[in-house]
Amino acid sequence: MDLWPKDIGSSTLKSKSPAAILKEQASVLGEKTNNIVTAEVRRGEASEGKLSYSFYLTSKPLNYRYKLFKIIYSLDNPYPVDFVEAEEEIEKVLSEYLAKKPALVTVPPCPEAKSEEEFLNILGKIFNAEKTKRIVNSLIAESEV
Amino acid sequence: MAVFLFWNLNNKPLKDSIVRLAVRYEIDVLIFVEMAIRPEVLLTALNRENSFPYHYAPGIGCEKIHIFTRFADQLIRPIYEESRLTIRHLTLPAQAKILLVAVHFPSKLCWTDDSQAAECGELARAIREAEEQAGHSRTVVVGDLNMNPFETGVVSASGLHAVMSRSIAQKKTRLINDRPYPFFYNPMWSLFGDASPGPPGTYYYCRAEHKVFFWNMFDQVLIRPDLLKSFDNNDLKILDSDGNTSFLSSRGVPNQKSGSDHLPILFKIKL
Repeated sequence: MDLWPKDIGSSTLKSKSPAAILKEQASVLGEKTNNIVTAEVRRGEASEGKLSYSFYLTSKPLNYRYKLFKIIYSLDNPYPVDFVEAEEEIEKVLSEYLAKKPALVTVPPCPEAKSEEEFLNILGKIFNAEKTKRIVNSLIAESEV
Repeated sequence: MAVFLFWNLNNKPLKDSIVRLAVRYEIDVLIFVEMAIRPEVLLTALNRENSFPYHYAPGIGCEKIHIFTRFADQLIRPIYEESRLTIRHLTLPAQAKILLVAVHFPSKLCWTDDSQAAECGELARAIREAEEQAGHSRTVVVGDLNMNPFETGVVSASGLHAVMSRSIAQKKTRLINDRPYPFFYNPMWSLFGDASPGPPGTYYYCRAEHKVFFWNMFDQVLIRPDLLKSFDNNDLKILDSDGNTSFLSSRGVPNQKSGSDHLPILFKIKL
């Protein structure tokens, strides 16, 4: 007798988990840099019912890792996603981005994405931040020495 | 023997004092935070006065901690960084390799005690991962922790687990709920107060409230047990002068008008 709901495990779930999105972006970075600079997504410790993942820029030739940010979200409902422990320059970029959003009455204590669309927007901001570009370019340059 | 100096410069123009210290103590590795001096300017000044040239060994992602060294910069490469943390693998030829962890924690103005303690847990994890990556635990941590040696994050097993006794640290780990937690030895405990050589701490703070320590030991060196044989407590000093200029005011506290609000710390590791 099968008492489980019919749609469990089906592909009716259209949205990707934040962790899956991060892992996808991590592999895209590798493709863009011929795997000179890659990114790593690591699951970390979090309080009960929560998941945390840290996003690192890495360079295997240089044996180097840099922690760019960490996200935390609920196991049962992935959004909102909190961005925590972000690199200081990047946190500033995100705070400025969030402060401009008219829907927000107050800026939350840490950058958060309320939906997958907003999560993708914020990731785009982080990856396009000057600090991120500086680190990636430095790693590429150093690996050529 | 490698000689290290750490100093939170409080963005002050202390180039001349740095150069005098470098000459006086023949420092091999200089580590600075809150440094407003342009690296190339300091490097030029250091190399004008020293027969052994210094190199600037910048981080890749960590731009807030500055390291100058008499070793070639490729021998002190970063292997892990965050915005306020750089872990370097010091790999001198024919010498034991060590991990140098330089850190500048957020201050109590920005973070609560609980947040600082939680961050110590993150730092401890990053150090353990770096040690696995490097294949050894000959690690020294140095920096402005913005915490005293007795605070939760520094003391707690889930934090830095830094203890005041060498013999306790030499046990290497402590089991709690069947989980091993590695120790650090914290020699800064022995420099607290005015019955120890040098100033009573590294940072002075006085406020009109009930609980005030006045002198704090925010700037600390922590040593892993595997490196303890290479560390002599007598080589650890809080410096109050560069030999020419005192870092203290007439009241005997860091002179913030002409210098930093932090005093530098000097230590040696036998490689």
